[in-house]
Amino acid sequence: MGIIWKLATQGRKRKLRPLYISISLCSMLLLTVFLLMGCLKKTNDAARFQAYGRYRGAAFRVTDDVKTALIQHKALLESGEMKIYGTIFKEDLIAGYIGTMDEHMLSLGNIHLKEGKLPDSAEEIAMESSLMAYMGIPFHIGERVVFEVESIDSTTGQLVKKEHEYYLSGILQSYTEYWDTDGALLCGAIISDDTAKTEQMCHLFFDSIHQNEEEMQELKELFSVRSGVRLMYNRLAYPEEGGLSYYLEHGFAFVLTFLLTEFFILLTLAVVFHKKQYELQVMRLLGADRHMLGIVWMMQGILVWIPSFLAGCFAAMPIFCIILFFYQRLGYGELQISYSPMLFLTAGIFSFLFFLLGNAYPLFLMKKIPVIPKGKSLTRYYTVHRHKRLKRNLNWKAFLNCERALYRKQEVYEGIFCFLSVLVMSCGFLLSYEKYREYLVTVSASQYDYIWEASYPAGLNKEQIDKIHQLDSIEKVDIFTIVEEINQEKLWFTWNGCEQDAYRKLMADSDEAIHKAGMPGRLVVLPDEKELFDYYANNGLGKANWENFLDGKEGLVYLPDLVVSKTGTITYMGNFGVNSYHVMGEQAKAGLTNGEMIQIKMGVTTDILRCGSVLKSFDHYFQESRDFLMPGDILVSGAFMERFLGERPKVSTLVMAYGNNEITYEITDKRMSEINQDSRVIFQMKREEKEQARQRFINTLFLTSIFILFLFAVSILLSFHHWIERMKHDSQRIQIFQYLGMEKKHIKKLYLLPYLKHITVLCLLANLLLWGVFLYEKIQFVANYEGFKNQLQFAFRSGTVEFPWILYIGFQLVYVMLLMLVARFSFQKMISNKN
Amino acid sequence: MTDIVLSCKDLGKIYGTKQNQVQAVTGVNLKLQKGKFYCIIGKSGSGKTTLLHLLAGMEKPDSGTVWLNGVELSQLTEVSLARLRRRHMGFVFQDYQLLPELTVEENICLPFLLDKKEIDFDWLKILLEALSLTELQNRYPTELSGGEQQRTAVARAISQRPSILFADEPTGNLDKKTSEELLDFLLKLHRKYDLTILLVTHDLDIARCGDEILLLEDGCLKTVMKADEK
Repeated sequence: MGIIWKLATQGRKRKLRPLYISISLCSMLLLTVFLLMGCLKKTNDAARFQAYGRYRGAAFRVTDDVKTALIQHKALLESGEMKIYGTIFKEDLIAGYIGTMDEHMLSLGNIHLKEGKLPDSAEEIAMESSLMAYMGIPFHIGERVVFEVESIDSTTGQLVKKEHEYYLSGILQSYTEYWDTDGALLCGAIISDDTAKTEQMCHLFFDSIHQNEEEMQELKELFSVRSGVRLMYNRLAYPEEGGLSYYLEHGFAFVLTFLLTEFFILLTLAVVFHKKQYELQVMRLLGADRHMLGIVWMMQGILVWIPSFLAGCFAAMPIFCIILFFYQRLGYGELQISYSPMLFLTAGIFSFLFFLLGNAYPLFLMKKIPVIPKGKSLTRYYTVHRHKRLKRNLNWKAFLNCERALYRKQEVYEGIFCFLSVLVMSCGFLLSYEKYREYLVTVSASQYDYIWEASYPAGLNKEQIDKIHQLDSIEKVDIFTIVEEINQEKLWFTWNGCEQDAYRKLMADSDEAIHKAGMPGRLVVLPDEKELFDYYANNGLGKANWENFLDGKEGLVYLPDLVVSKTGTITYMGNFGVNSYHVMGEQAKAGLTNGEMIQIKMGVTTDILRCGSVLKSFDHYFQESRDFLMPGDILVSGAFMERFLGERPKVSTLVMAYGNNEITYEITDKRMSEINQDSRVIFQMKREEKEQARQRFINTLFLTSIFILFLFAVSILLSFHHWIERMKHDSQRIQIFQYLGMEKKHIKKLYLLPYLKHITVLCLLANLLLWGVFLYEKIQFVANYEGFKNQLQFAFRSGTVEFPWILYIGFQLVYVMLLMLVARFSFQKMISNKN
Repeated sequence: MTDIVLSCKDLGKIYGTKQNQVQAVTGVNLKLQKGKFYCIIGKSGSGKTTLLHLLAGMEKPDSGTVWLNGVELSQLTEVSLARLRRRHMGFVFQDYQLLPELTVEENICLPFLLDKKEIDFDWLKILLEALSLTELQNRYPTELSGGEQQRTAVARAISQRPSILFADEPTGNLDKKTSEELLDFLLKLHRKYDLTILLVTHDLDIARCGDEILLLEDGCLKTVMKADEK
């Protein structure tokens, strides 16, 4: 052991230097990523807590006995009450609710005062800022506030609407718009308990020992028989649950880090082994067996690993601080710092595991070390050439080949590294781009936080639509008129050869017998907006013309492919990537082609229209909620509808109202429902979705950027190191050529140019592979398009038109140029010593 | 004057930084005549190899000028200098400097390849015979002894019929007997082909074989003497 220790500890400085650097860098990367992920998670959790409070569950409209049962339940750790006494009105419309909250409630809900204090006398009131904005109350503490409140009269027990006057004691941070209460009312104005009247309802918010919704079932069972009481689990307040997609998305950073780290360590160990090969051969000659060599090698490695890991940990700190600095400077918000010894320990364990794993290769090579040193390896060319050589066959080309053969192995290593580096960097870039697209879909393209759909077929009358227009909180209204049938006369259409069309048959069979000769359909009138028309037209392959469309000469026909399952269920493959996958069965495609004439019939009314474009699916990219189309829908202009229907009434309308978050959605939702009492109102809150998408995008972009930069730096450093080593190794050889009068340009041709060609070709190859996969994935999204050519065209358009080529090619060019510069600099340095 | 192959005037070379300068070669003046065998002797570190490199145009002098066949080396471009070295200079080193991937024959032909010239196989045959390498021509350097390798290096150096052959301690790695054999080969070639040789050595016995001995001390050329004078 003594000699092994001595061998392991001595002479491990210079040749092991790359290993020191490599392990330090990898440890630094691992720790940085762990710290960063920890911080991002903590920030995310804090944001969730900030918005959704810390209560685990809430029981709405609780009665006294339920309340008592819940409070006394052993699973409950803490509970808070919210009592609602009345409804606040503004101009006869509901504006919010008034009530009281105890201290526990404020704490559990993380409801803070932005300004002022909670009311402590009967004259005071604290209000939510969004409610104040809606009511038009100035944001001044002490302001006199007057509004109408409908509450239960304690004497008569009847609901009475009376004017109340308060003085504003505090402004509460808005919370009602974030909380998911499934329609349960929350109070936006707090009064003191002294003002307490007869409560209309009481909610109990609580913290419990339950970790998820399933565990909370036992509480639900307590009052399952009682009507009116509802219990909800506050899933938004807790760390996101780890579904597969969650792990795939967040695991990307880890997978990439692990791959990168392992590859880097493995490569360095291979380089170090190559350097120490002669030394190992000598040891073998002096009597060391392979087992002993292995122990010495591993001991040396561990002795290198310990200081390197520590150095990596130290280096990670400033790097992490820089990341934090840039994170904040770039406007991504404040990151909550999260560090624990566990993170360091985990980074250490992973770093050591990767180091051990990377050693498998050198230990395998160690088995091949001969007892007698072979001297300089003569490459495979030597042996091949030796047996197959022809007399006097040496020429310039053969000589160059011979020289190149010497570096083939090294070139393979370099090639793999360069190829993988470009692949990983480009992959990261593409991933960021995809995230950016997703971000655009959910954030940028979606200009509004809230959408209300007054759904078809009930429709809205003009008066109702006017009322929606008048709502302050509604910023945009889209109205689509839809005609399917009038007076029990159904609409249908035909085209040339449609009688025998399998697609048509499938659709008609599922409908009335009246359609036996045609395709059942609907007329959808688009608002006269070119942008909207372009959105639909761009999703088809035909050449639809806006002027012809306006004149009622052309329409767009939506005929997505159908899949008939074995059980007979018909599924249509609508939007990109949504229904294209997972649907197994026989496919049916419509025979209608772009530019073909269609005949539209409804009772005795008939008209002819040119099909400007057949729409198969929609790119989510531009969509908000305009995915209401059904197979057989014909998009036409108002002019066509006038011509076709004439004096007949157009009753069915689909109204989409969009709004933003200046006032609480709850109020607008209520008003929308009041306007449209006979119809279903679908409410979509986009804000949360947008915020999550934004956060996801930023996190992914941030992490990917770090990876790309790290890989970039490592790759350049490694290349530099490699070139220095290579030039040292080949200095004598280059000197021979110089003595023999070889010109510099020829030496360059021999050493430098092949490398430059090599990396350029590999870079192109990596791109080719990546783009192949990328386009294949895009083709999968448009698999329902007829013909590979069309699929390719769409995939190409979808994947490349808006792709940031300049940035993509630019960063690759910078990378390749830097590699070239490094090689050239090292080469120049080497040969500049001699002429 | 036409007999002068190589000459230099006030040749000087300094290594190192300002604080730690080493005057490797100082004010060397030389005129080497065609067909003569010159030996440079001196202790280790006296600047022999540096002088050789300066004369061969491998390194740029800090002062002075070198002429080869009347051509001033400092006036030449890099390409011309490489061409001059390829066609008019031959080099032999202590550690042979053969390419292990090439056979003896291929190593000897290498200067032809670098000059993109047709190989003169008649001359090659003569060379192989003259240096007793005919039997070894298809062997690789690793299959040869030190003396055989050095003979190959000599054959390679004179394959282009250079104006001058620079030999930097060619016997440094060889035993006495092999050294003498190599020296015999060099002398034979020198006499038969009127080859100008500049040989660097620290062995006086070897230096005595030359026509003239140049003594170098601390970078300065002290004495030029006839071999028989010593």
